Amino acid sequence: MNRKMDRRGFLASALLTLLAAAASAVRAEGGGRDPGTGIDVGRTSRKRAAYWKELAG
Amino acid sequence: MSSSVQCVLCPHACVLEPGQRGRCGVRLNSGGELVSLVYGRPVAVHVDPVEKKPLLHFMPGSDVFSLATAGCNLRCDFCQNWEISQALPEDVPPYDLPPEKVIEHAEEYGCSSIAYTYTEPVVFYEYTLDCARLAREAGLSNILVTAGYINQGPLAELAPYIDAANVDLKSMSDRYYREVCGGTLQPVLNTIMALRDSGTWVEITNLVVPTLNDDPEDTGALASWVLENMGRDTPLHYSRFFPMYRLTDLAPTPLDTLQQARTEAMDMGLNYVYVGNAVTPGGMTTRCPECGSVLIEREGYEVDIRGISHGACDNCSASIAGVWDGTEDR
Repeated sequence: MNRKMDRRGFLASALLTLLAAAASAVRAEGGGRDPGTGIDVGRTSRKRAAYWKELAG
Repeated sequence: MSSSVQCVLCPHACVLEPGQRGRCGVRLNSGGELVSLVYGRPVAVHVDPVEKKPLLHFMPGSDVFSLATAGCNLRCDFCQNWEISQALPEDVPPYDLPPEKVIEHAEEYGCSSIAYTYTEPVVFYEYTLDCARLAREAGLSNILVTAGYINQGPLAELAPYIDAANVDLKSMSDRYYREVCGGTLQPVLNTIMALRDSGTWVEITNLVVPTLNDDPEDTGALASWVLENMGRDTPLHYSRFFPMYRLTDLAPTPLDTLQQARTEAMDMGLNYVYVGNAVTPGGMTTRCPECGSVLIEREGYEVDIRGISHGACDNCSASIAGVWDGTEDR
């Protein structure tokens, strides 16, 4: 009985791990951690913005 | 070597070191270049009645393709959409919707307009501008629902594409803007007048929050500013507050407060004053300012256009301010 439950528990856990990995792969698509800033930008795009200026110094 | 940059889109004028974002959370100094993190990535996309914006004098009964990205440049304690306006873009799963797709979907759903709304279109400025240009080419109207916290330069570039706007005028008190919203008053007033001057149809909403800006002096000062600076034909909406975000300890605005504000504003001389977010007798009805005939009756988002044709009162032929049949009437 215990072994059966363990097996079911293991299968459930493995399934959850697979689902989490799949979700994480989807989330990282097109985004992920920005190598320059280290900020996780997820799936967001990065478009050069209007109305800004570079500051000297 | 990467340098710091200054965003000059809105009055905050954030100075950003590499890797830093502006107060909006969606504009990032990436290696010495400012980038938008939300271009083409809306987190809310819906088809709404135009009355929901609210716009009551702009193509009544029409459907509006409405979208928003994450982020806002204000921090209003009462925000009704705080789950997305105060979120970072990576915290809310976005749709992948470049401007071309926005136009396609709007047409597919039979919408005559596109609204940039729910959060704050100022912070997704580049996306709004590109969508608005394409929409204009496709014969669709553009609607801006905004708190108006933007600098005049970028507004001047965007305004020619905006057919109608509902601007949230939160108070006539600069202190209120600073303490409750994290902004300042004057830029908002400048935006309202600049939109009007550019030919955009403008309606104004004031969220009446109990104990914070519900004194008759507050609502009266706001009506007075609208009358003096925008004229008697500018619609003003007094909108009901519901407990939300950081103000869950306050009760909803009493209906009497809203009715009283409406009555006083109309007594001052404003022709079109409405009560929003609430059902009150006549609070959403448009009457002819000349003869008093009912022109449009509304219940919720149900619209009964009964006394107006081609922008004129059926009874006395008085001209009624607004955009009634399309942009050719402007």
